Amino acid sequence: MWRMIKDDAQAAYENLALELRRGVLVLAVLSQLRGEQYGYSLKQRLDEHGLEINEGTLYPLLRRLESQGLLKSDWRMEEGGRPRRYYELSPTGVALLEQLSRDWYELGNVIGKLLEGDES
Amino acid sequence: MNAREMIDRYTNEVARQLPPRARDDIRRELDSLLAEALERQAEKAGREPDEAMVAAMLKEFGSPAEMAAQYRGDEYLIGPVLFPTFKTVVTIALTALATAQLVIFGAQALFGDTPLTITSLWELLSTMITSALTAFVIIVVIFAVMERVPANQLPKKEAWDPRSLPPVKDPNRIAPVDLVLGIVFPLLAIILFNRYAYWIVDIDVPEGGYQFFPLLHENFLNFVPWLTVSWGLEIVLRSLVLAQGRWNFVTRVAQFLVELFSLYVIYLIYSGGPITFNSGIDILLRFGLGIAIVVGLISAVVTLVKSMFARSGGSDVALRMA
Repeated sequence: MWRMIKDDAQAAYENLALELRRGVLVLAVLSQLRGEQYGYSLKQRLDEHGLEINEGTLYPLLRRLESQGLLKSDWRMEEGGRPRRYYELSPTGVALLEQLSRDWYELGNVIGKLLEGDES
Repeated sequence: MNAREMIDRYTNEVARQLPPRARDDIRRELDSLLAEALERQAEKAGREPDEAMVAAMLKEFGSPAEMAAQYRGDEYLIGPVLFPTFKTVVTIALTALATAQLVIFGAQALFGDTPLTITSLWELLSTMITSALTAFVIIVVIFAVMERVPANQLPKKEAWDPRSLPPVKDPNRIAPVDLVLGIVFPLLAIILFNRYAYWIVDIDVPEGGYQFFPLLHENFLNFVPWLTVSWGLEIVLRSLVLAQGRWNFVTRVAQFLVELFSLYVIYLIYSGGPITFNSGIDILLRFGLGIAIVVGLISAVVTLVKSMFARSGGSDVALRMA
């Protein structure tokens, strides 16, 4: 019985943690696309900063952001004959990133206070 | 299976499940990403990429169905969790419905007072189609509601094996067996109908002895030259394709025109006078011909449209090793 409750709690935690992550993923990706990146280099960058993201999530996300007009992309032939698709923020994306990061800091501030149990 | 082949199969499976306009682009991108990831892994491992290495990498990317779902980013009317059940239910319901209707119709034709006519057969068919559509819509609505129940949406992490990815099919590559059959059968038909068209049937005459009647009606025999032309065209076309080794735009269109011509001839037979000397057989034959015309038309158009969008197998990105 206890085990079941524990498992349920664990499942609920995993679900919530996943949702939290999913929410900030877009912000994380946009933040790294101020300059040009292709799929693999972007994944490397996020990994290096400690944000591991599955390829099956990242690559489709890039296309979705592009179709929403936040990114622009460009196929380029690298030396060695490998074609790569480079992504970068579009002007709309730049503006949106700015706004979203403001929201993020504001929210972080509020949540921080809430978690600390602000007594003022 | 080598690394290249497995990646091809994977991207092909993903692409298959995507809307046509995004298909080639996503496939190309996914292919370059996979090739690059594999190259890095091979560098890290210090050996050539092998089957196990690609398989592990593809598992990391996720099954083709999951990957395609992410790319579509869509909302389902009926999602992948419920869809297999939906398919089973539809199959069972429609089969049961059709069987029941056929049994009732058969019983009425045999024991009741509804005579078997071409009109009654067409009516049966239209009733069957209408009721099948109604049943289908009802089942779709039920499943669409069930889909909205949260427990049914959870993305199922499916266990999948990259080694069991189906091979890439090239729709333009010819299947020699099909082509040869496509030449042999029309040829047999030409010989049969031109040489033995006056098929005879023996009927036991009450006075004793036999009397011979041609089975096919004279009226039908007028169409034999037209049928011969359509079969002849088919043979010429298929021989040409066989010689060229693959289908191309011109032969696909030619094939479509030949099919239209055959269907027109069949339509003339359908709408013309008697086919055989037995009106009962005629009713069934006409019914069969009517269905053949509808199905033939649909399949000819579908084949043509599909071949317009056909991609060649494989991809243009080569896997290069450092």
